[in-house]
Amino acid sequence: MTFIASVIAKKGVAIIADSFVTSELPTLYRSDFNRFLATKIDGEGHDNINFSKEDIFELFQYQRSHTKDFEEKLIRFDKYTAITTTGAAAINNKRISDLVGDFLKQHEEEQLNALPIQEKVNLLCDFVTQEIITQLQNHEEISTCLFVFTHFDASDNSTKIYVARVKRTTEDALVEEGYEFINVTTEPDFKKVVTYGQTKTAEKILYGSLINFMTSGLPSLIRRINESLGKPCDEYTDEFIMQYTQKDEAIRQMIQDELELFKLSELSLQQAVNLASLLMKLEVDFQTYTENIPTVGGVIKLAVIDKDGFKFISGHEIQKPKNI
Amino acid sequence: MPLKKDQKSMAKIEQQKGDLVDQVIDYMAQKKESTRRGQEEEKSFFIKKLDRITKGKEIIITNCNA
Repeated sequence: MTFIASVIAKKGVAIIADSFVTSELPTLYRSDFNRFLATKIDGEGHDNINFSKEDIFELFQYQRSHTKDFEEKLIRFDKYTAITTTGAAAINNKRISDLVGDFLKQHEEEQLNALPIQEKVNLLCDFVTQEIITQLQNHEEISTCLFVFTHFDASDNSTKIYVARVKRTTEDALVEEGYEFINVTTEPDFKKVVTYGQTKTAEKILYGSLINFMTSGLPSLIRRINESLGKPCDEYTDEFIMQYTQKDEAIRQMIQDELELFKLSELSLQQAVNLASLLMKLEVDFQTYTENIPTVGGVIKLAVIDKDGFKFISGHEIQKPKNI
Repeated sequence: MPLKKDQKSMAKIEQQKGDLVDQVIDYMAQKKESTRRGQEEEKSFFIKKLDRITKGKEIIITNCNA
């Protein structure tokens, strides 16, 4: 797993990434399988057990298997652009940092610097798409992978963040006309802190818990209450409940009070660096107190981009071993 | 009755806060929808894979998640 973040300041941006690589495997425990079988037995003393492909899918849950260090997840792209990455660690048997390195070998930095950020994103996406196609032609599937472009514009001190999402794909996509292997979006301007990967702790701090409950748990809770009262209502769709609660002033005020993200405007670059480090530390340290396999950690790379361009702050040099 | 200058700016700030709340709610709803689509994608991916297995096509499985 991964934790990557970009924290936007008044005159620059701080970017941080961990270096752990955690493999996950679809896993089925015997006890779960026994429970599943019990629900599928036909009840007439026969040995027949009927289940569908969907049933098989539902049986397996992704479980963390093991963690390795070290993966480059924060990469200098050009003078004012950094790439952070999460998801699949390799495409076409090339580590993501090597893939970006291969792209950069084919492009002069001066030329890249002169291009608008959107064009840079498109160029890299075209390059990665070719690698994806090669991998699929070798009958290997593609796992989801994100390239997060953080670009600082020194002319107006603004930061723009693009996210290129490689879709999970099989070779079947090769024969689909117009199939988009990569989907590109921009982050909304209100997001002064952009996090990807394992971001539960950071998001709770930045957005609070209520908004998550409102968009995830509330609609089904209301439906269940109505059903238990014997008043099921088909009109209570997620959209209907969301629209209704979104208009409620008391709920809006509670959400607003919890949104620490809005109180983060106008950070100095030093504050952005400190905040990025704090969010990383929370994710890394908190995992050590839980029963889960640690999935965020290792060497933490931290960089800034300001009027002088991209600069590593820490994690980019070999350190003297501790206690030796 | 016209608003005084500071009342006007307070009203503007409140309006901006309200707009931001709407943006965040929309963003979270989109994110939830995107997660749901991702799960659907994963399911369809798995079923396609099962289809290929049952049809005897060769499959190479990669396990390389970061």
